[in-house]
Amino acid sequence: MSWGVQLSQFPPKTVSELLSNWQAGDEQALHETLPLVYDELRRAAHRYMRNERPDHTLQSTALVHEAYLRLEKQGAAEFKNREHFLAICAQLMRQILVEYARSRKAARRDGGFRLTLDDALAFKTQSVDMVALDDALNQLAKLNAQQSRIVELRFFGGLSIEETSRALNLSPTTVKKYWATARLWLHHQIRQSSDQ
Amino acid sequence: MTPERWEQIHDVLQKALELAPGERSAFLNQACSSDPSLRQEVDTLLASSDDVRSSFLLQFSGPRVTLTAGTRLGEYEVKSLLGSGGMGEVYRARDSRLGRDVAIKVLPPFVSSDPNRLRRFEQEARAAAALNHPNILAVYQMGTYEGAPYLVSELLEGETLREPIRRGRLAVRKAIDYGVQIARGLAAAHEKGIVHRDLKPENLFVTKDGRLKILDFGLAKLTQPQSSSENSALTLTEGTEAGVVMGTVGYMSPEQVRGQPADHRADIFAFGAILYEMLAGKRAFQKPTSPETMTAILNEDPPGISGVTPNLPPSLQRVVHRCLEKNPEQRFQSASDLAFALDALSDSGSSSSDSAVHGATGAGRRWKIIVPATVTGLTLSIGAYFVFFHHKPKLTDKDTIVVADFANSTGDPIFDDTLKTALGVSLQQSPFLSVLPDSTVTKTLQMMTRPPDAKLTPDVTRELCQRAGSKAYISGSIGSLGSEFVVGLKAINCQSGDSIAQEQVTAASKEKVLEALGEAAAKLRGELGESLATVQKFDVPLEQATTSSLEALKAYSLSFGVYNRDGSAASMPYLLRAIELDPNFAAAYNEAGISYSYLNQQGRAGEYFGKAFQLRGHASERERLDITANYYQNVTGDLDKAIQVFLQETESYPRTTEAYINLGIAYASQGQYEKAVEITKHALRLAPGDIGCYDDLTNFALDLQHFDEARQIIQAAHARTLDNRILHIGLYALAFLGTDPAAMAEQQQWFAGQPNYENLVLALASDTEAYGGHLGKARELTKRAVDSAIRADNKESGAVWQANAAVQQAAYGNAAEARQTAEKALKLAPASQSSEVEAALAFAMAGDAARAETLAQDLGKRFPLDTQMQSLWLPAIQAQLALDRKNPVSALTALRATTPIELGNISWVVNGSCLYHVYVRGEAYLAAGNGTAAAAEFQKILDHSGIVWNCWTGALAHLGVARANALQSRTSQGADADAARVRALAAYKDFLTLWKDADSDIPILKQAKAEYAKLQ
Repeated sequence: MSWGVQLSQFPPKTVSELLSNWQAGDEQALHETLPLVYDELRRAAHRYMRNERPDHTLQSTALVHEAYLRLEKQGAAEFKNREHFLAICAQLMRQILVEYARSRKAARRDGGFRLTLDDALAFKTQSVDMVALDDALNQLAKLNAQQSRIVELRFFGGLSIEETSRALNLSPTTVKKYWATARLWLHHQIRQSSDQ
Repeated sequence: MTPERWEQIHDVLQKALELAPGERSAFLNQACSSDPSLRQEVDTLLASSDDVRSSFLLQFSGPRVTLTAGTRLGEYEVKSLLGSGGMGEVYRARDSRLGRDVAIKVLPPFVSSDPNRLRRFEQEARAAAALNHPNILAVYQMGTYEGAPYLVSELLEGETLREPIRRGRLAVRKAIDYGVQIARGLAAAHEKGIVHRDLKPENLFVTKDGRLKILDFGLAKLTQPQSSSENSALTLTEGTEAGVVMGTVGYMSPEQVRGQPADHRADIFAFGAILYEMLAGKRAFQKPTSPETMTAILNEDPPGISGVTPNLPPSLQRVVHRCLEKNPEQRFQSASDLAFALDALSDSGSSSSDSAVHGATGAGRRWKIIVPATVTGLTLSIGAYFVFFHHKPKLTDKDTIVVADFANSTGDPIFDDTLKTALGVSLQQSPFLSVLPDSTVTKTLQMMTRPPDAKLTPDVTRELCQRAGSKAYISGSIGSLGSEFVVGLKAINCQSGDSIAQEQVTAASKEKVLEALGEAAAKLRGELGESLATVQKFDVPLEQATTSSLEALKAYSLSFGVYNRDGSAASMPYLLRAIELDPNFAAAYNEAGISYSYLNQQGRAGEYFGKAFQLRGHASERERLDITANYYQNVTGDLDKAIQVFLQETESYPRTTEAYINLGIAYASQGQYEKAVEITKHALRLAPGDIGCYDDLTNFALDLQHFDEARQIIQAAHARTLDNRILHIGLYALAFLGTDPAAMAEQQQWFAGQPNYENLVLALASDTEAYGGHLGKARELTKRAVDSAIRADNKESGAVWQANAAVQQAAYGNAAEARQTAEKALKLAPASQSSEVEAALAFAMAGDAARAETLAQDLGKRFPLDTQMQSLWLPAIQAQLALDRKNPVSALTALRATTPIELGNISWVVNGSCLYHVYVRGEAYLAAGNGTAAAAEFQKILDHSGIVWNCWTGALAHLGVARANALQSRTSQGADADAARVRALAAYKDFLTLWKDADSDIPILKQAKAEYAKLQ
């Protein structure tokens, strides 16, 4: 990358355009969107893998693919804009990761080992107990649904404060405040559940 | 908790968070004065605010920071995004105070997640900001925004140096001009002690008015591993970064490639590479893959520029070459010297640049030459543009493809697996296409909850193709039309389901089917985007490349399925059947060789590799390279030659994993473990599901004493449900090295019920007992290992275990027993190279010089080209014989040959190597009366416990150190003598503690005790 004048690789407008085409029934539009959104998804996926495993490339790729396949299966939904699309992706990521973590736990209990998702997704569960996080997020949703969404978007979707605020139609200041206290609450909650 | 209560807590908590920690208490006292339980809740949560910083929630939050127009960072207001990339984003912003536009580069937060790293960034950035030079990008300010560090700098308009180079080589005068500017910028930075470390055309900016600016000072260090320990940790860069790394690799200095500390002279090397590229229009070191580029940087001189750019002033060439010296001492020692030297050329450069461009023609003809050249250039670029848009290749060389099973409607089962295998051979000849490896296919099927041998129908294949991230799949069909056969091939984009290429050919008879298929495959390759040149170069007709016998091909195809399911031993009958059906089937011999070597039967493996080598004309280019390399690696043992062929293979087929894996093994055999790791990691990047890479990386990590890393690699493989005996042996080694008998037993248990490998783990257990001096148990276990090997039809392994035991018995002082055991080994497997060398060494150590001499002569004749034989084993045997003759000097001379590869892996032992030759050298120094040198040799064995592990040399090395120090205390005086005596006593004690419950009748133990008593 240089300091010089270059075009942005990811003009938000294009994604939104493609998404609206997709909703209008143009299947190809999703495929065209993918390379553009791919980076976003990958960035989100990579966060789980960073510093984790030597083979994280495939793992995050697998995660992105799985999210993409599910997205495709879902068909064209109503996407308001790029942030909304990323928010759906965040939800999918959460689903996939938590399902995977639960299946791992279940497999350990009944002694079997059957994976529904590429086992390449085996990110280090010690560092983030996905199931505990999911439970805690569900509890948080009961206390403050928006805070739970903020964490989902930031953590699973990799959205910045600005993007989150646009996706949820909140001011960045509110997002920041909610994010700060939600983090403390979650951390406390997860630690409590692991102590038990 | 209710939502209302949480709302209350949240309010107080977030206000408290906004305060400095010291002010919080006062605020909370007031805010919670009426509600002590609220105070308690908030306190509890606040207490975790420190933890949360290091927890995943912070680490993982905000992968990047996006700034929108209008965002303010201090006095700067963001206007627009200029670009983004791996190391962050660059924005145009307005400095309202000074009324000028600036650039703001925001780095990704991972840079700041590590406080040390952040601190270093700040230091470097401050230093860079202090640099005030017209040829260095001016940095105005730095700060952090939402946890992401950013830099504010002058805004430049122009392009990076990469662009003009891409358009073609630069005029000599211009290259010198740019060179002088870069050198001056570097000189200014070096003067302040700042080294760039990542100089490359992408980091050099040419402004509109021709000024050159060096970018990203201080950033380079951030992107690089921080220390050698981190360097060696297993961290692979992500896919997109691989290109970046590869791009940078070409400008790395040899010392950086080696991971050694690099000073300002590394910048001089990079400068040389850039100057070369400006003048030649191509890179100084450019190879298809980064490991090869690194190898070239270390060992090769770049091709002479004068060949590409005629009439270059020799003095300029000398400047380039002096910058590119491998040894930093021989380069220009300062950038200002370099700037001076170049500047001196710039006058002559102006005239020489003319002559370089226009040759000897007179000035009057200049325009005639320039004009057509310009026009051609223009046409060419338009042409390329046109081609790009109108003949877009359907696949790129980064895509992988999946081959589906053939739809066979002929009713003849002979075509069932056969055609798919044949198609695979044909497609794999292509350096352009990359067929998804079997291991990944199996894994992906598993993820689709299908059995590993599921039929790959078009539907299944399409899903598999999508999930594996492949681009397309090839589905084939065969049908009969009267007496003729119609073979069809279709390439389908697995996302869209569209057909992207198809071919149909007719075969007049069953015998002509393979020929027809080969023809169709070659055409398909062209249609998919491969250049005609490589299709022609790598297209041995299929029936010649594999076999003309469909039946043989069928057996060969089936062997792969069986191998994937049940392993080497089960697949062997199919390969032997294939060979029986077609005695000229080179690839089948090669596969059989590979399977035998997996089964630890090196002798048999050698026979088959040899046969494949003889028949290598009957193979595709790719198979031929594979066969040739296997022959050198396993039959003649000529490591340099094998490495050459592997490098050739990686050059022709840069995406073939096996060649890299084998190259890694060859480097390990020479003891070049770092190189081996590098290459093998590259292989793993190409085939992330390949267990062989994990196996090798585990072993190399052990060899390098990186025990934690070895364990991590095994865990990573297990997390991917990859598992095999080598990983369990690795765990056994780790358990041994960590003195954890329970874990050792657990790993041993893993082998229960595996008849082919039981002998191996029994031999391991025997070595462990012998290491602890429990000879009775060791003898018993060796016997069981040998019996088990014989039962598994693997006499050779049995013989190796016996020969191993014989060497150990000789070392422990049981000479008669050693001679008997060695005889038994030779009798059990008379033609085995591995047991023969060890038996020879045992005879030499046990005093049967005549027998050792005869064996050594025979081995020398049989393996004249074998690197390890000639440079490790024979010297060790000769040295031992010289010691028997009481001639330590001649022993030491013989052992000199072993030094370059002395730490190399031995293929037939379970550990890395026993380092016998190092042990013998230690003994030789003892005999020569040189205690210091002897201690160093024995210490070398102790320092490489990851190579030696439970081999007896590891135990006796303690005694060796003790004796060496005792010798030193006798041959020196005063304080030196006392110190040596203390060291000797400690080492004796180490040894006797290790052998505290050893069998008491071991001669060397009795000697050690007597020596210890005497010294006390």
